[in-house]
Amino acid sequence: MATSGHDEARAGSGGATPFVSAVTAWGGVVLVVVAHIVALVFVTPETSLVVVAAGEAILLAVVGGVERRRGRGSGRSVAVLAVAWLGFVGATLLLRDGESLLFVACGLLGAAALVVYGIHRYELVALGLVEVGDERE
Amino acid sequence: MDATRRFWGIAAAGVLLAALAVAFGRPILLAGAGGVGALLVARQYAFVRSLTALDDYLSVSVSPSDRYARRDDETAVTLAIDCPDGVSLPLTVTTKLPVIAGSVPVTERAVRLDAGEEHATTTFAVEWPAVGEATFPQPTVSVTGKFGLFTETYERGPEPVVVVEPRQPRRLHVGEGGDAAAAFGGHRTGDLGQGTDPAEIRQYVPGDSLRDIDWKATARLAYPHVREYEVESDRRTVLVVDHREQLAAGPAGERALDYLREVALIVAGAADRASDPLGCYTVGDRGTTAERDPATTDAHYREVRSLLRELRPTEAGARADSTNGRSGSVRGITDTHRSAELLAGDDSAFGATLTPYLEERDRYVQLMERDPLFETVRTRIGRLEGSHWVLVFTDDTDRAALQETVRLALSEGNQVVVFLAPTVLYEGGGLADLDTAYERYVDFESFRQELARLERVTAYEVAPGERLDAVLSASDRR
Repeated sequence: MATSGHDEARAGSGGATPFVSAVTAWGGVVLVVVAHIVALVFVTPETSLVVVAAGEAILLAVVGGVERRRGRGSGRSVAVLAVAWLGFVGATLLLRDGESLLFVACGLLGAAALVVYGIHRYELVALGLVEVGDERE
Repeated sequence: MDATRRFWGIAAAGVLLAALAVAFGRPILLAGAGGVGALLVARQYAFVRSLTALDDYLSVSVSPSDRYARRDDETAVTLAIDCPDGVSLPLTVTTKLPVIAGSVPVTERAVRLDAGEEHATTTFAVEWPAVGEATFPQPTVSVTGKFGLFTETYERGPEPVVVVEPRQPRRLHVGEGGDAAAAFGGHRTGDLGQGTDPAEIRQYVPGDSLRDIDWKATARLAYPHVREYEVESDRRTVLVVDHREQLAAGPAGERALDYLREVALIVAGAADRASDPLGCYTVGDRGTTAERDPATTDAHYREVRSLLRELRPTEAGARADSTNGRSGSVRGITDTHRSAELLAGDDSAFGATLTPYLEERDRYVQLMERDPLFETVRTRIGRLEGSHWVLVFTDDTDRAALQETVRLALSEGNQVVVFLAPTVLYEGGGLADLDTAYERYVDFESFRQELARLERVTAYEVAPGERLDAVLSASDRR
């Protein structure tokens, strides 16, 4: 008789391998992480926000370039990266002095999770995968 | 959309940065976490955008080679995917199988399209071990994002239907000399007298019972009239079904025995509807394999039909097992077949131990040295009291023995109907030379007519309609 759904799922997820290698996928992330760890040396509480923002802008430009070249992404996806960067990083820098760091960290993670989930829901609607049961909830 | 391990790894890196920022009180690390989050969001957006664009252009089709199939047949199914401008993301499309389909490895029914490719196709064979309407579910499209952070699996494409029909004779022909019989097995006696179905009204003659006078007709016609009724009869029907090895001629499901079985089932059904006593005796290569003396209970009719459905050709050289238990013999055959089929593919120690005990073995209620068909009629029909309607289902392999059997069956005022399967119409290469086949069919027909000329004997041919037409077409060409 017909094969089980587990086999189908296995064939589906395992059948198509990622388009880029792990090195490329992690490249931009490593760049961001390393840049900020290095920044620990130069950025102190007394460092001007303008200087920090300028540094973040330079980093954004580099990461955007890497993403576009290695991931063969479109200009629109780089624009989205810029907007998201501006939102997450900008909000973090602006709030760093006024609010507790734990509060800002939680807010940042919550906002990122919300945006990711929002895009996920948008994708379901765009592909017509929203089921009636989901709509009632 | 499903997140992959790679996504969770990157997300963990961002969370770690945020945790370190809180732990060491360094907001710059939190900005780094924000950067990682921005990367994830941008990549997710790019994936969704590519996916929706891909979905607009992707075309998936599933095409079975035939809308109809027979049980145990194979149907070729072609899965094709097209994307005019080439796909932007690597994807795999997998055909899902209907519930009643046989197993096909996933690798055979899946196609992969790498980024930039436009077309891919695969063809695989699906076997149908069960009967029914088989709907192929929509194929599953599995897409992985460029960075390998996200995958999506959804259904696209048609849902074709294949109707799987049981293996049975396709076009059953019952008739004489190539002409289909209008009806066989009529039930009227032709006599008039007592009964329940009104037949006619006639004038009263001295000797008629006063109770038979139809007063309304008498008043209307101004002379005494009596109403007559059709005499009803209980036709005691006895089936003698030959299932010796020679009846195995023909492809699976369309063997001579399969065609004869169809006719026997029709007769059994008619006897059931008319509540006629029905008996059944089956004949294997070495004797009588089952016996059911005439009876009229519902359970008996069911049992006879079940017996007929489960008949299989016996093996001439197989060892035979005689048993005295009537029901035991038939149940034994059925159970053994089923158990053997269940264990056919079982390589376990359990299966290996039991399989030798379930090997094919024909069971008999009585072993016979001489012609088993003749001996069955002699021993079973001969002991029945009164006249019966004896229906013999066999082929024309041993004509002399069959003639003797029919003559024997005519004793006690029995009427005999012979359903004959012409061997030439069932043999594997029987129709390779149509002229020769036609000559053999003519020979068969003369034998059938010879049988039919016997008093109280009717002989019908039972044949596959298509093959009979093919043979008869040879006469047109002459």
